[in-house]
Amino acid sequence: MRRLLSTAAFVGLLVAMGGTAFAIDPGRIENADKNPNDWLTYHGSYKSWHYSGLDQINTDNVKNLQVAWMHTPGRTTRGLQSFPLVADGVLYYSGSYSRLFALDAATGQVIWSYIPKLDEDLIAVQTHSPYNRGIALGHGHVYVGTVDGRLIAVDMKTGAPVWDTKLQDSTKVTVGFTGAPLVVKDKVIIGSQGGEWPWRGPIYGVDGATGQKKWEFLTAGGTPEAQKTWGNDSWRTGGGGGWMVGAYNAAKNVVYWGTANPAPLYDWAGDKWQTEGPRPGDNLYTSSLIALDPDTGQLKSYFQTLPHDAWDFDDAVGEFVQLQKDGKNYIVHPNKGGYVYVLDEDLKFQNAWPLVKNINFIQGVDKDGKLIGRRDLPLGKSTNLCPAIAGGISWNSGTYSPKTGLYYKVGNEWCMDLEVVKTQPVTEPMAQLNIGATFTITNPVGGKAYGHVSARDPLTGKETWRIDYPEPPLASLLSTAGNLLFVPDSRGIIHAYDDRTGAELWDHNNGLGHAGGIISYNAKGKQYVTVAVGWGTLVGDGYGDLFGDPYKVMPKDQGYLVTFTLP
Amino acid sequence: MSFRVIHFIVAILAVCSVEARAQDKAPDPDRGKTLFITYGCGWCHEDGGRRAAKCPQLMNTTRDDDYIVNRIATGKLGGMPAFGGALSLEQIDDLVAYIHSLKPDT
Repeated sequence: MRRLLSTAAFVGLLVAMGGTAFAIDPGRIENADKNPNDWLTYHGSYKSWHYSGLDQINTDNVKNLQVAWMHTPGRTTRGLQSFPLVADGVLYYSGSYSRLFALDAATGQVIWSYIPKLDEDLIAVQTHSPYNRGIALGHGHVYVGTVDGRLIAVDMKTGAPVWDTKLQDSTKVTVGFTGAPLVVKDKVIIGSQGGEWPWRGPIYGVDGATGQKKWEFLTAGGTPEAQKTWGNDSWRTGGGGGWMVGAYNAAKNVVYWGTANPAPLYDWAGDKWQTEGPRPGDNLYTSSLIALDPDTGQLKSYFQTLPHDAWDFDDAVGEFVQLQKDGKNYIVHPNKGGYVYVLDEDLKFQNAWPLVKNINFIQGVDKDGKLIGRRDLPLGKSTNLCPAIAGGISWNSGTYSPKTGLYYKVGNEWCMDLEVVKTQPVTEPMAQLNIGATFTITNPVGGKAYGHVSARDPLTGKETWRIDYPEPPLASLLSTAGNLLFVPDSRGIIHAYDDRTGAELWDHNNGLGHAGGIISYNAKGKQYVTVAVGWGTLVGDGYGDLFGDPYKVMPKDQGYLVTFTLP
Repeated sequence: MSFRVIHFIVAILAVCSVEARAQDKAPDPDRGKTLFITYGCGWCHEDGGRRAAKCPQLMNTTRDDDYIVNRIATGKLGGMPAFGGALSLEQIDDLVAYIHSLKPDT
């Protein structure tokens, strides 16, 4: 009888715990930065700092870090590019093909897994596939997008599917979802792939409880005003999209999202782009920052970093770091062209500063945010365009530490030669990449391609310290209250630096390049650092030719999650 | 009919009928170049296929035509999309002609 009562009491306790421990309501996400034990959203919190307030692991003891556990998701085509999340001692993450896992965050033991059945025939004809870059938590669900155009909700406790909504016909438009969703109040918001594809790259708002689509915003010609910026109705095949996750400002009730480049990537109009070529005009709202009402999807404000982007330097990359200085709120947002933009919370331009040296697609950005000295490419061959198509800045995130007041970010130094060619968009029987050129990634004139991590004032770009790497790191960065900066590099080494000086304090060889997320959390009283390991991104694919070994022989179909802690 | 079945049929037809198709319409490297760019092949095969980068160099390939046609039609999972459902056999032949016409950039 005593045993029965004990069991009943235990079950009751579990139920009670389940009712609280798994409740991730919008308020909890809004205050995510105040609870360093968890890591509740892709960018760590709506502030997008990628910062952990934990300091159990610090500059004094980081040298003692050791592997706590590992987990292999399997079927890791194109490596592991995703970003784990943690809530209440459970770690959730996705692998390629949107495979979902819930693990005990202290031991790595599997609690549940969910392997969605995807359209494999569609995947066989996709280019940007079948990787997945992250998930969202909220409303008792784990949310994940799929490359065949669906958004799926599964139960956080069991992994059982709750709803599965087809948002777009990927068999027609080819692309689906690889970026993480964002939970905002009762909605789940997700952006489609699409920059180079001849359609209109929607961002969707979906009811978290039911999976019902509530709104969609078309990033290519999404308003009558925007359509006027596309000559010859070219918005119909304009590209756009928002393939990486944005952020939320609760005080303003706006969702910030970065949008992709227009299609074709390169066009033959040269400096007559306002009236000639395949997409004459500014091409709103591509290569822009947009602020949407999360309840309706209505556009509230925007800032277009690159009117008529002719270089594939979109804003879908780049976090929305929300800061306050002298009583004023700022947004810091890196653009793929290599500039970091600083705006106010209504997306009014404040200033822009270059993160990388090799930039010649423009000569600068003026005090109003206008481009100075555009280099618009004519039909035919051009050489030494910098940065290369892979960007001065790639899609993984930097980190901001409120302790140091510094922003840490990877910069890429490389260039390209290209030949611009006239193309027609292909939409039947299914959409095809519309690039408008052939190209070759090159070393900068007089030097070698390389990458760097620098520590800077986020508003001015003033550099405090910097570390060069022989090849650009492609993974996200993490800073912590232990005054540590973690940099997972491309060769497979994870480094820990003193975030004040850049002095290296620890490193560990994970044996395979990094191209995904990194987080820190607390489970059962211990601090852990978890990093995604795995190589095979579209940018990384070119490393073998550009840099040689170890990339020539680095597998692109393997990956795992590894977690470190103190003894 | 699924893409996979279509790809299989296209591949079989392609392998069996290279000679027969040659009598209908001669493969044209210029049309192949336009297709190469229009269908985004240069995204991966840099410098128009002259250079190994994200994907293998196509210029001076030692693969035979059947292999190339089959690869274009059926792709390679995690490496190359399958174009058998998007391109006709004649268009694939034009791409093969373009690949064989590639010379170093001057």
